[in-house]
Amino acid sequence: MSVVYIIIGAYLVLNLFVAYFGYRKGSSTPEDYFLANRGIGAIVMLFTFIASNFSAFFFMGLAGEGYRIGYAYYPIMAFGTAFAALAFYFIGYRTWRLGKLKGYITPPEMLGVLSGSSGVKLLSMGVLIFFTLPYIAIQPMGAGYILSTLTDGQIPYFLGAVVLTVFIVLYVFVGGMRTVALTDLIQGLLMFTLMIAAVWVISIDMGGLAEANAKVFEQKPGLFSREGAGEQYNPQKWFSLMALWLFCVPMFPHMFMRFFMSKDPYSFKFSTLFYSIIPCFLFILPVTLGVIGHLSFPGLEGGQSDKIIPMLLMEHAPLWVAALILTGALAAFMSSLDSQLMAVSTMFTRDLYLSFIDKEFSMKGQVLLGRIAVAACAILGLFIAAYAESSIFAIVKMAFTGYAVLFPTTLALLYFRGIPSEAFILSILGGELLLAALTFGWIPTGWTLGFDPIIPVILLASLIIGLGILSRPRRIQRRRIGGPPTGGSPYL
Amino acid sequence: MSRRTRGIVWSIFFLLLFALSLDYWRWDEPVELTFLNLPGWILHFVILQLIFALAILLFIRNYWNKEKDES
Repeated sequence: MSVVYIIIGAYLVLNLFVAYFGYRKGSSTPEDYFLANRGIGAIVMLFTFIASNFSAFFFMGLAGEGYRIGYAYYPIMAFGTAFAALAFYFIGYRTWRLGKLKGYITPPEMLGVLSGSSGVKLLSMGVLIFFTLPYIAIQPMGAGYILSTLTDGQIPYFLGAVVLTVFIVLYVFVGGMRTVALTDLIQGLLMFTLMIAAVWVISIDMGGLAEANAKVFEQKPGLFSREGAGEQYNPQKWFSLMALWLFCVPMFPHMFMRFFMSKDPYSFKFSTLFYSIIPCFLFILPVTLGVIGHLSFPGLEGGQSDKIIPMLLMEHAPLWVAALILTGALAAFMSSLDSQLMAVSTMFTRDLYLSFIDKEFSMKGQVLLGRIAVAACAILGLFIAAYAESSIFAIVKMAFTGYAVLFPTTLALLYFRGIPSEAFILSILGGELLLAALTFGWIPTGWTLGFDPIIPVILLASLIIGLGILSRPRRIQRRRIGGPPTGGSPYL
Repeated sequence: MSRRTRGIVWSIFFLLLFALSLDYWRWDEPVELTFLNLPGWILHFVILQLIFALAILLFIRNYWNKEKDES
């Protein structure tokens, strides 16, 4: 048992060293604290995208879906996510250039200036913060499960969640975005290698992967089918889930904000390229574990299967190996949680407080407020984690669609001028309302013709923006994108 | 070919790749197990992803790199 504490302790100490390094290297300016001074190079950029993107969702939610649905889940995550790399170009790159030119720090700031509307700014900020809260909550949930599984209950679920969160809050306090990016590098490396190790160790103990797959195929062939176990997928749902990632991934605040942080075009392109190929190799791992998990733990229901990886490790591997590998899982959670906390606190400080409450707020004050916001969001996340009951996958799937509502607005603002700001406001409100209506059953789900909410929501939001584009005044003032907006803006 | 036209061609190409991920014609076929007893249809997606990554590389070299106003 002490080996567990030693391994986890060592890992946490390593992160603290990096935090200190981030602190020493940094200065107390907002651009430095919130964006690591726009100086992130290629390798760190890649790892920070991957690590902050792949989280408890990856380690637990994906394995859980693999258990519930089978191999059919793999293409959706692998190809769907990789395909979102395109958005790094048509949304991310333009965002980066504008950010460098105009000094934008947050997405709502940029959207607000481009549209000339503080309504758009507030609304986009609200959406981004609101949907990040459940996403924040699943990381301590995952950590709580893992720590309690590893220590056989010595560290109860909620205590584990709290300890991890406090630790992350501490190192984000100290080092800001630079620490977050650097720890992403360590955490990303750990995640990969340890996930591969997990599949290796578990499948060997089961007599080899081929053997394990053959046995599961006999018992539950549905897990190997195209439609998934229980015929979960029909063509419309498949299309919806495949398309979802392109619309939501660039809108994740922790991703969107990273578009501002690249050092140079090369770093951007490098990370785009590798982001497009890594999911192919990575996602097969948790899905496979979910499938073969049926051999050791048949009959798990609902959210229980989210825990399949820690359960399998405890069953099939020596304790020290399990501890080492699950540290990789902790790394995944931490790299996402710190990024999300950072993103939310940045928006709260810059887009809400600075814009509307105190425009002259000092740099030191901003950094301090950022830290307070980090702590507050962490507490909120823990609160949600304490009471959450659905599976990890179900919780975040709704959040993903909520983010995606901003996609048409963002795209339009990056490429068109002169669209009335009412169009954006209506597009966002309309999209979110439709999402709520479909989620809570105010509209019968039959009306979506079998498609997941993402499709009607994106269609509606895009339609409204399309109408906005068509309603532009005939003679649009000729000005370069990023030039003085016609609305009042506090930044120019 | 103007840059705009090339942009359109690239967009169509990527949309085509996306369309290939909707392998509905395969859904009624019986599942055959392949390498490590994984379902055979997975190979289609592995190949598709490799092609996609290659396409991204070519896109970066031939289109993205030629973007003006590099800063």
